[in-house]
Amino acid sequence: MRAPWLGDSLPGVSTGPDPARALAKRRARRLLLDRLGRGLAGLGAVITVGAVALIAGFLMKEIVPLLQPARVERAGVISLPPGALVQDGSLAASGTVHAAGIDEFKERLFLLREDGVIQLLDARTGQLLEQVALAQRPEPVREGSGAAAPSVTAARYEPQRGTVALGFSDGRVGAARVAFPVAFEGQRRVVSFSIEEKENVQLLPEGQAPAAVDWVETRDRVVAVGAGADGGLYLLVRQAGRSLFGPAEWTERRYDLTGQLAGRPAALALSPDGNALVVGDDVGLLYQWDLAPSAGPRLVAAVVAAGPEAGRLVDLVAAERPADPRSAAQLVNPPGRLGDPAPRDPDDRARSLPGSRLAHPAHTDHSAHPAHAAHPADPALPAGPAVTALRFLIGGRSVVVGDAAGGVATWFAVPAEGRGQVLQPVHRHRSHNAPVTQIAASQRNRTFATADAAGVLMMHHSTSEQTFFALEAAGAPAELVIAPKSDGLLALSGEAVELWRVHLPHPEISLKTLFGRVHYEGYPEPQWMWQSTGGSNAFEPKFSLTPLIYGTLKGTVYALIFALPLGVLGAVYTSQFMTPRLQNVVKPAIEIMAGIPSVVLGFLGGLWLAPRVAQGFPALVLMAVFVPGSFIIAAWTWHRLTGGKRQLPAGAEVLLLAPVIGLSAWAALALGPWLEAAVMRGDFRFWVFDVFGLPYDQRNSLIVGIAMGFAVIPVVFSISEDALSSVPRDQIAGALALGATRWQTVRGVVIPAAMPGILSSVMMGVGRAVGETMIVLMATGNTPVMDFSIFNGFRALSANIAVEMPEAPVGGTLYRVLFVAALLLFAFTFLLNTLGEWIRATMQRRVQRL
Amino acid sequence: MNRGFWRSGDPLVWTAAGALALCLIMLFGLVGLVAFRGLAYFWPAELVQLELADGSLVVGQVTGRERIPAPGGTGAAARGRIQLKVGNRDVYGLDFRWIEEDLITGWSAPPELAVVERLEQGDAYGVPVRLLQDGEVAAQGDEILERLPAMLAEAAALRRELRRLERDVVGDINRRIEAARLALVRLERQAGGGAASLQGVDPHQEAAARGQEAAARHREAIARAQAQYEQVLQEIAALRRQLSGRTLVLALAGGSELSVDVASIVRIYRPNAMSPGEKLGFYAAKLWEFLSSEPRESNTEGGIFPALFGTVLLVLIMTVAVVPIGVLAAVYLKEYARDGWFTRALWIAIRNLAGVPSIVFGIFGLGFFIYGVGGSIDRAFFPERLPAPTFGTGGILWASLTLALLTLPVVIVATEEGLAAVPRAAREASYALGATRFETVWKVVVPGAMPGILTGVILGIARATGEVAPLMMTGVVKLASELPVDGLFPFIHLERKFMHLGFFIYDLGFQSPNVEAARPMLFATAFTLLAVVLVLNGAGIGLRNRIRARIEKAGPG
Repeated sequence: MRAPWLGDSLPGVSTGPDPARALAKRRARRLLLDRLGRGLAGLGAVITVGAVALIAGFLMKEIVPLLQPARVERAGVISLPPGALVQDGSLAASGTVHAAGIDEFKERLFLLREDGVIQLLDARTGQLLEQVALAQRPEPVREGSGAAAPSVTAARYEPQRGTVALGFSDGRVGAARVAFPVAFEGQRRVVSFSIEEKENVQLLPEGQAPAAVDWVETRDRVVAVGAGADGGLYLLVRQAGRSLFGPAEWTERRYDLTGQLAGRPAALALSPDGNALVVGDDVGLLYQWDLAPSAGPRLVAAVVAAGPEAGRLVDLVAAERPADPRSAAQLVNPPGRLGDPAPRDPDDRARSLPGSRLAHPAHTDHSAHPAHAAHPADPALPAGPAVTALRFLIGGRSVVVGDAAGGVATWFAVPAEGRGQVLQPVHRHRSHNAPVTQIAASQRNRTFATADAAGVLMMHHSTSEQTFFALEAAGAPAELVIAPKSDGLLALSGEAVELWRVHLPHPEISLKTLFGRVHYEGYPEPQWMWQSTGGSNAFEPKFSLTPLIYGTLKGTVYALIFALPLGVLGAVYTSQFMTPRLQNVVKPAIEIMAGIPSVVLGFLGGLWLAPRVAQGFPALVLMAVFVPGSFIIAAWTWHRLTGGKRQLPAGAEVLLLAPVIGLSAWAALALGPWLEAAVMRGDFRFWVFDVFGLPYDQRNSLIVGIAMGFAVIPVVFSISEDALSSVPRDQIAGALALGATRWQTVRGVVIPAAMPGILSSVMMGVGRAVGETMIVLMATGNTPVMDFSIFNGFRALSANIAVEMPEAPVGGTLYRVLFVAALLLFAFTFLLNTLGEWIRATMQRRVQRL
Repeated sequence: MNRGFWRSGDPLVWTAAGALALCLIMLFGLVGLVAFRGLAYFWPAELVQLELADGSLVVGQVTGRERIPAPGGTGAAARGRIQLKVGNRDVYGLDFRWIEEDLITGWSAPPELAVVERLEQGDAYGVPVRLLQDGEVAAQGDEILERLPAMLAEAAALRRELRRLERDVVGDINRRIEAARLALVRLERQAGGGAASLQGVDPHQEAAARGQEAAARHREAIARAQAQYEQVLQEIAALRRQLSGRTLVLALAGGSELSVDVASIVRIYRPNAMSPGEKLGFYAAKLWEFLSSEPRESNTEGGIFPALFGTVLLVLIMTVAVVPIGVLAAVYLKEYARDGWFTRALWIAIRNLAGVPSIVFGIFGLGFFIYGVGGSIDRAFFPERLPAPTFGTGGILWASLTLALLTLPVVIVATEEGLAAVPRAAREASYALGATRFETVWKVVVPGAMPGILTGVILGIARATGEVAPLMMTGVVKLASELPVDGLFPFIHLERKFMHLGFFIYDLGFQSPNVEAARPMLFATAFTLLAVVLVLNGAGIGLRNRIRARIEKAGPG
């Protein structure tokens, strides 16, 4: 309330606006600012919390695609063009389609029909765009007389090679090269189709229609193989002579392999380099020929193809000449001796399995093909399920085998005793319920698709042994193709072509491939491996994080072995036996040292320490004995000199010991060569290898342990020291008053009280060592090996990220796997920090209670 | 050793003392080693002339000595060998030679031996005998060293001019051409966008005409720039001619001669003839060169200025980014936060940010900042440059932001401590005067906490300066042709790649083909980095301890 005598006419007040209003306005502004300030500070806090959440969330977001299940959706069904499309009346009406293929953009589709007509369709609408008849289709055997021209009875499209192998009803086998050239008309993409026919050869006896064919052409060889419907197996190898000058001379050889089979060939496949032929027969045996020798094909092995005994070697004896058209294969052990308790030749696996459940295919003459020696004529000896489909995966080392019982397995060559490399079933995949009829391989990776007689399709990956999905097609597919970019699946069944879109970005990743042992191509057994990139798509990437985790832990352990005793003991001494004045020097000094950049430590470790240790390792060994020994000797000397009565002024031991350490280190350096000469026979590296069998790398775990120790010591020291000095003084005084010596006090009172703090310091130290990148990158050789030898290097998770990330394509599998590594590091350090902090907080409460 | 001795526990006390002594010796030894080796690099080392048992002469600087392992374990007297930097890479092929001490029969340091530092092929060691001008002898003997300095200064000036032409002028022309080209691409895109309405009404035609006019202008600009480029090329050729023609002939140990183009000489000196004063002067000059010039010979010689500059700019940008957020978060923690889930979450976040390995920050920076944010910026603002990325690739901005995340906890914790050191009385006085909380916080508490904030900044900078791993993914390069700051608009180029002291060490030490020759440079760089980090760290820790002492004295605020 305003005093009435002041009135409104006070000079100086009336001129301005109402002061109360001004004040109110000002107050409002101040309140607003107050609220704004609060909001601003809150924003800073939110950003901080948000940053951690963002990091964790982003790491996970980049990993999620690895774990997402495959997505598959039907993209369309195209009815086959009606028979009216047949142009030439003399041709048989269009019947079976033998092969089909699709371009990388999934725009064009070709069909190869029985009558030798190739039709090009729009893959989205099904519209017929073009059709051509195979020009070089063999002429009818007999001219005129209305005899039909030979039809296509078998075809095999290998998108990887871009060839279609063709088998004609008159026994001829040929090939055509197909491609989908892409051109651009302005901005518009135009996919066209080209077919270039190769010659064809009379491979099978005239008039015998091939049931399965394959054809491989490389720079210096052509290999064609055909299996007749009646059980014959024929091979042609044309090899270019190795001449340095002038045109190569080609030599052609033909072989009849029928006699080497126990059954009828049911499926076959040539490796992309034309050096291996794999054939499966209807009695369940898988044959592997080496075609490389110029002497002719060598049967490497015949193995049981399916069932529980898959992979078991079976000995066949081929009578007469090995590759003779009329030779006969015979099983070594006749059926009657199956249960023989004392096999004659124990070395032979096939014969040394007494009571073997497998009935060896018996052999009798075969009426349809007299050359055949063996067929399971005896019903008492059931053969395994027949091999029904074979397909090489990218890289040409793995072959997928599908059998009549629905089994699917990836096979590749594994060393077998005395036989070289023999195909073995390595990865088994989800089985079908009906015989497998078709297998298609991806051109990008080791993904493949299988189809069975009941029309079920599945997609698998060989290395990760995953089956991504199963779906039902309209009917049993006559042809199955994976689109070139591995993003689509095409099945040809009944009257329709069905197309699916497949989204399968990281097929090679499963928990097992990331952390477990995996059997990789070319290795004798499953193992943990990291080898992320190779020269080409054909490389099988090895993404096991286990060796890297192992490396990280190895480095951490060695660093801790070095740093823990020094850091903790140093902290004990500083906190308990030093005057505050000295403490005020030592503590900041070590804290400042915590800032030594790790790149400097890595550089010194890798370039200064490593060569010196490689020279003077024996001296280092001596040092590890001499230096601690010198402490005891110094203590003893002092004890004797003073009669154990006097103690040094607090902290003086350190000063006294500095020259002692120098002296003992010098002694070790001086005696090192002597030790090397006397005990280690002059060269410790040879000696270490001789005695312990350990090779010596210059940049090894010892170097990392020491270099990283420098980084860990300050962490351990500072936190331990904090914990040790916060032990209440009255407790220490009490213990001393009770007559305990100073060390007894420390051991009995101080250390137990500070134990949680020391533990917490260890955790922080571990956290520092686990996350350290530059030191492990520079002071080890970064080879992802898994052994604990101190003389070996390793590759840590962190260094691996630093090495591989710059080369990883964004969004690729490697990129995401590296994010997995980063998330592991994040989670591990998060855990350690939280745990360490919790321990420390608990300890603080306890100390406060005391 | 009697039982009393063991029971007293003294051996363990002494062992603990020894552990501490060992820690200190190792840590100081490390710093001492780097300092010694790093600082020795600039000292003009003596050139020695060795006579070997086979009568040959070798000239070089002694760089190391080692024991030859005696095979067979005979315990033979340790024989040594010395490592000699013989220089003259173009003659000998190798810079270094190991010589067994047994084979050395004579050891001298002739004063006339000179070190010729060259732009390429490393140092040359020999005795200057002739100075040739266009093939004619222009000077001989001692006269050479009298006449050379002027020539070298002239050559250096010419080189600077050449460099200006080659880098700045030609670079400018290139930029103009590139700008015009991008403008053309943009015009084409616009035209493409409006292609549907090409046959449209007048405004469109007008626009098309304008577009064509602009395109013609840009094409003309390109042509002009290209003409200018031709001209500059001629100037450069003329300068080059002017530079060539003078040759210094050195007599090498063993009788052969080496001709050195005077234009390629950086400096020539006779270490054996130098007085201590001259050596000190030389030391200073060399140190200055190291700090102020650019690296030569794939980073094994010259200076580290771009790396130093990159490091400083990196932490400056980082500081700008981290300080506001860190201070705000600390203020929130100390002044506003109540005990609750958010405060707990904030503490967990701070602790874990401090514990997360730096490489994880790097991979986050790469994925989030570069490919995420940078990629979006490129698509939005620089579509005409795609697929060449502008911000969608590593650069100093992204590296700085990544480091800002990394140092955020350091700044928060230090600031929080600083805030705690502001006495409660100050706050209460402020409130008593009717100040709002905002006014109290920002006008009383935060200014009072300045030392704490400064501590945070210093410790954060120290931490960031030493980090390399996150930078390897976010834009550091071994050799950047341009600094991120120059005279061209907009002066600070945040998208550029940069050099960094730590990465310089990593790259030079582990990716360089001639590590042996790079070693002195490595130690000098490592010492620079170590000195910067330790001084910063020491200052930060000293400041922090003072604040702590104040808190202890005054009680918490």
